[in-house]
Amino acid sequence: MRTNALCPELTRTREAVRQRLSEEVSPSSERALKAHLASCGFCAAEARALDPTLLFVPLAAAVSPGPSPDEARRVTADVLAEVKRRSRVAPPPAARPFLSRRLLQVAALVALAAALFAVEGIRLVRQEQLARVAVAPVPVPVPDETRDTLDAFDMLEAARPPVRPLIQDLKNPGARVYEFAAVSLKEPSVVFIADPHADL
Amino acid sequence: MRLVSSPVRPESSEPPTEGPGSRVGSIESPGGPSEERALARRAARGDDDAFAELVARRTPSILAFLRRLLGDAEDARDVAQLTFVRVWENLDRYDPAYAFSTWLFRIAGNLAIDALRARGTRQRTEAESFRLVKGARTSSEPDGPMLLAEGEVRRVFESCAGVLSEKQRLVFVLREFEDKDSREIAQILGCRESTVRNHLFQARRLLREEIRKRFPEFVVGR
Repeated sequence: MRTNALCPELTRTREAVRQRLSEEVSPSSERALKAHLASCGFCAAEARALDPTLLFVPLAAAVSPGPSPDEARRVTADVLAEVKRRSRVAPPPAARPFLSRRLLQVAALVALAAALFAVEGIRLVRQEQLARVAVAPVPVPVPDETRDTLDAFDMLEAARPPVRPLIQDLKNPGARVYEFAAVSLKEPSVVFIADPHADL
Repeated sequence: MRLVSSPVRPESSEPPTEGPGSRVGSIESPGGPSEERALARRAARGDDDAFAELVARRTPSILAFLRRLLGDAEDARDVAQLTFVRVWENLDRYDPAYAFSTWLFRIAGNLAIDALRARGTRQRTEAESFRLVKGARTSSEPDGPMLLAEGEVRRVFESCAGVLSEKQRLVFVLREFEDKDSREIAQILGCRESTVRNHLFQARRLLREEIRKRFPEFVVGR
């Protein structure tokens, strides 16, 4: 049986380490424990056996000496020299007028709103054109067996005039390129390739 | 000056918090948080002297923190320099509602994580084959168990910390070495306190296993 003669704090150390393991130790008790472990080899060995992470106590800021004043001064000087060099190339961030950033944000919002209106406008024009086609559909021969299964959308699609393939001499047999001309100047043309042999 | 060239995530000046009363970090600073806030405000308005004062005040603590986190003095210097340059570039984004040191540690932590990731694979491989060669020990008690030297402990930590993720490592260093509580760490990391506690629990568990496995001679009770 171990005795407490080696260090009078041994019992208290064990108790604090057990509390730490069950996450019940208070911050002040933990600080006191680490401070003691940094100076008492007996308790440090005992504590490490219970919680091996207490091996790292010598690295704690409260125990470990920080960087030398010379090193800190060197880093400080390097930082200030670098900032000075950068401020010669570009104005310091504080010199940036606040309004310029705010104006940029407003301009971006306006541009975004305009883009949304444009997209919505295109959608409405397309809907109008589809509605017009639906009112006066072009008669297209549709096989009897598929006629019943076509819904309204399919009817509209079938009503479109046939589009001539754009390129017919692709290397892959059966591959074709189609181009759907724009219905208005605002709308882009759509091109797609139909290739039954495409390896996707 | 050699600066780390890894990309940096944008640093928000508003760390997410959990629960009321968690605004305004309480990380202690050499001249007091309010004084540093005032200096930061002056620096943001273009006062070079105020910025120089902030750098001079905070360089020792940031350098020490990065050295513990990165385990390499040269990397720590590089990341510390880059940290202050980032601070200077983003001074207009600093929110004085939070302690300047919280914001500073957040930037330093993010940059350190980037540096750890950049060298991660190489170091992990080295750490796996690394075995500590016991060096000289110091002792204040000639007849008792020896106290371990800081350099020796640092090497053990570097060797074992390879099992941790960058976030776990950052949380462990902030908690165990920098003595920050969960709330402060949550502010620095921009996450919830429960996340911090989870990272810390996992980090301790992994390190205990790793030390017992690789350095059993250090954890034998008397």
